[in-house]
Amino acid sequence: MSNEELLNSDILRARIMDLEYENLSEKEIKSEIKRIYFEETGKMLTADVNIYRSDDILKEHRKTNIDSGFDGTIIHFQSEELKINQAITITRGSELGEKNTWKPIDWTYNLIGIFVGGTDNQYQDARRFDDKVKNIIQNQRNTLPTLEKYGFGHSLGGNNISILQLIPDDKGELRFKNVYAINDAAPTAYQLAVIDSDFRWLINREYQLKNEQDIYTIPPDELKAFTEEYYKNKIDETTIHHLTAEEDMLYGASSVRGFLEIGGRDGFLDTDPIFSGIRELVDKIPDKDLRTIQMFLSNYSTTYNNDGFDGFIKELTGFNPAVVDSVLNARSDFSETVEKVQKSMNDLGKPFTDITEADNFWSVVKESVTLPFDVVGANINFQNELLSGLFQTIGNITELIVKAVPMIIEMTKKLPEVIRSVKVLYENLDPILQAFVDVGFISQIEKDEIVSYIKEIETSLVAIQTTIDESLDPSLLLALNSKDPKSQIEEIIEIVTAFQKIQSEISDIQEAFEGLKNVDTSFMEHFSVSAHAHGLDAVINALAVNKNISYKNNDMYMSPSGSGEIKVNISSSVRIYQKGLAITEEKESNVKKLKALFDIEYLEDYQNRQREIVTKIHTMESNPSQYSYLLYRTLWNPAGGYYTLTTINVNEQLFPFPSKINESFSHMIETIEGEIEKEKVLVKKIRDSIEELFSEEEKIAKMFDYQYGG
Amino acid sequence: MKKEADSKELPNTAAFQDEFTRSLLDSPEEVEDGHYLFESKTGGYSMLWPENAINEGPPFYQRTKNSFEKIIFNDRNEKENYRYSFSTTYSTYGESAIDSSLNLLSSGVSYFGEYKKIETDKTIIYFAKSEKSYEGAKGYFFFSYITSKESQKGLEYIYSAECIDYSNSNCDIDIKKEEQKALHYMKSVKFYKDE
Repeated sequence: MSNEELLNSDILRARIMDLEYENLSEKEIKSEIKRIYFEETGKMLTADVNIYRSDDILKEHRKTNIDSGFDGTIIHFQSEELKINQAITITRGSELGEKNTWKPIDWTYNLIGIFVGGTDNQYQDARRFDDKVKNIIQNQRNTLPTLEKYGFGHSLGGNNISILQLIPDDKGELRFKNVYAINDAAPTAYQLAVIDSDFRWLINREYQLKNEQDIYTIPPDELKAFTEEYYKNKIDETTIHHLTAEEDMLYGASSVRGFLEIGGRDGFLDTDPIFSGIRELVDKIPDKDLRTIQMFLSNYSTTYNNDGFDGFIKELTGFNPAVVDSVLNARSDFSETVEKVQKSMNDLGKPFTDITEADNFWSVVKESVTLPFDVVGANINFQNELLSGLFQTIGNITELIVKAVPMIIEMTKKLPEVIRSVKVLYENLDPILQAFVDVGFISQIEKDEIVSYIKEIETSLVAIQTTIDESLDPSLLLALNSKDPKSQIEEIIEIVTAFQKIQSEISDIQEAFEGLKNVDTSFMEHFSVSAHAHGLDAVINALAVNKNISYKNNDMYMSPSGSGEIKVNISSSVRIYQKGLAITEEKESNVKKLKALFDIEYLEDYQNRQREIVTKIHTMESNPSQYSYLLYRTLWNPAGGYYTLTTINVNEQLFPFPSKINESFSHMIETIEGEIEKEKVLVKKIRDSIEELFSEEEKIAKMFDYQYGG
Repeated sequence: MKKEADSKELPNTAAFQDEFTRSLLDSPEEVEDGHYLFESKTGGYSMLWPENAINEGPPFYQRTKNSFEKIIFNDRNEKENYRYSFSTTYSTYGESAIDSSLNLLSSGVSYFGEYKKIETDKTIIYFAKSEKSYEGAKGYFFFSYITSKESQKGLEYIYSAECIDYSNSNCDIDIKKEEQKALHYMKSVKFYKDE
């Protein structure tokens, strides 16, 4: 067979890629590879399998450093006899989430990275890992044929592995003979422009860019065409193979500007016949709006935190909580400021709400100041206190307002951008939601609700901006200190009113958010269909050629012909049979050991002791005088001795080993042996019944006999 | 408000007038004629920063805590018809990983030749150059991988010089001078020792 591609079908590759998500030990990976290979091909994998993991290979570098989030595994198959020497590089390209989920922790972060450029760090780690393992393998043995390398990647790993192929190594040679990317995030021109200096120079020359950021202003179709032509001239694109579920969310997103189409794709997998995918929905978003979103995202890409998964989906559909986060955060600052101001006002002795008009307020002050001291003598102290309290309070409020100025400046800067983005997102949401209504995923009522909440948010944001523009000019606020008391108080009241207005608008926004959360549940569910299609499990099941076979958690399930309803987990049955058999064998050998131990420790030991006693008796009986010293011990005896022992006669009575002990032990052993026998029959029965169920499947019987190890 | 006041006192150079670039530089003090000192927030290295070069922020600026930093910055002058581009990538792969670092550098600039080894007091510089042409335009590339002799640190340094408009009569790039300049930049890179 001389080094022909071992993993030569999509389903094999998809199932092997899926192993990356299972957090297995090296030994387990090896046995899983053998199992999957056998389940799919019916043949034993005879080549030696070696596993290299990025965590170990890059260990030295990572010892003292934060890693890039890159994770990869290289599987090396070799056999001198069969002339096999090939290595599969699997890039995971992103931090892994929980076991058995497709949703890695920094998925969204990475996707944003790809969307706007960036993620160089993961690319570099991937290359260094691949280079290093290649060296290790090539330094091992030279009697093997030339090493052939293949690259596998799912999702963001697909992005990573494709870029490794697009940028050839230092001899200008392609890294992999073939690259297989499943539901991959395609590389973008923006990403490559940052990674590949050569390409960046060409883009700069071709489009006469003044700034690096200007790359985002190049018409996306033009940029895409230019980029694709450049890389298609540079590498043989037929070495890159894509496999995509039409419902895949990433594919849906990939009609968004900049995602490249390089390499071949043999149609699409239909992982869910009901769901038609979201690509056509995304296609409806106008390009100029996408640019706004893209620029907006680039601001978030470095500060992005981990709870952003929902954020991305909303980003894609045009609705992003992060947009309003900045406003919501400011809310607590506002409340605090307003609260303090209110408290200070209340210190005047009148409730804040009473003093809503400057004139009223001023009259209180005037009254206090102008009251002749001698008219109401008793009031003098009170007036003095009130007076000093008042100026103290005005001073406090002014100080607080001055402190609030940087926040207002910040908001004046940020608000127009936030409003613009919300508007863009809001407008884009409408056609998408309409499409959801059209296919019956959400009701018209739900759609209207979502739209009205977002409209509300926009209205509130605009109201906030207007309030700031009209009543909160930072320079006037700063000048507050130098004003006369009357205008100072008048302005303070106006400012506090403005603060309250903003505060109430912000609570409206928060209410709208709460409303959205309650309304969009079914809406989000449909995205989870798309998210599921993105996972390898869905792809693997769609790939199953035989309708009687399905997969779950990388286990193979079969249905006996004619009864599509019954599904038997073949992988697990084989595991139960093999493990069960191994366990009964281990028990049998333990019973054997136990029996031998009983013989040695009880029966033989008893006989040995009896023998020793008899021997001793004989010795004593034949040499009694030698035991005279025993008499000295108990009787007084002068030097030289009076007594001599002349005869010893032992009346021995030695009982045989108690038969009761022997019997109960034998009984116990019999019981255990009986249990083991029953287990054996049971395990065998599992095998027999499955073999009977699938009597037409030849490979079933073989599966039970082939040990994967591990 | 304080910031506003400050920016008026800042030097009238592109680097300090640009908000993002300013955030990367600590001091407006020139350490060398026309150059500031860039002291990396990774705590790993410092290098010269031309006073008129700017960085436009992410994704042209990327950093992973203390172990990775990539900066693409440009000094572009339309009037004098030149564009100097810089791309520096800091990582904690030092001399022991030099093969893979040079491999990465080579493929990033499509250069498949040898590197000249230049030693300074505390660094080793693997240096090479190349020329690219595109529709009448030329780009002169000088690039190196610099490793520290004292720690596992390295910096990929790519410098390129070109005219913006090659049809203009004031297009003159002195290749020898540019190479000297590039080498000077590379030799000025300092790595900090691990604490």
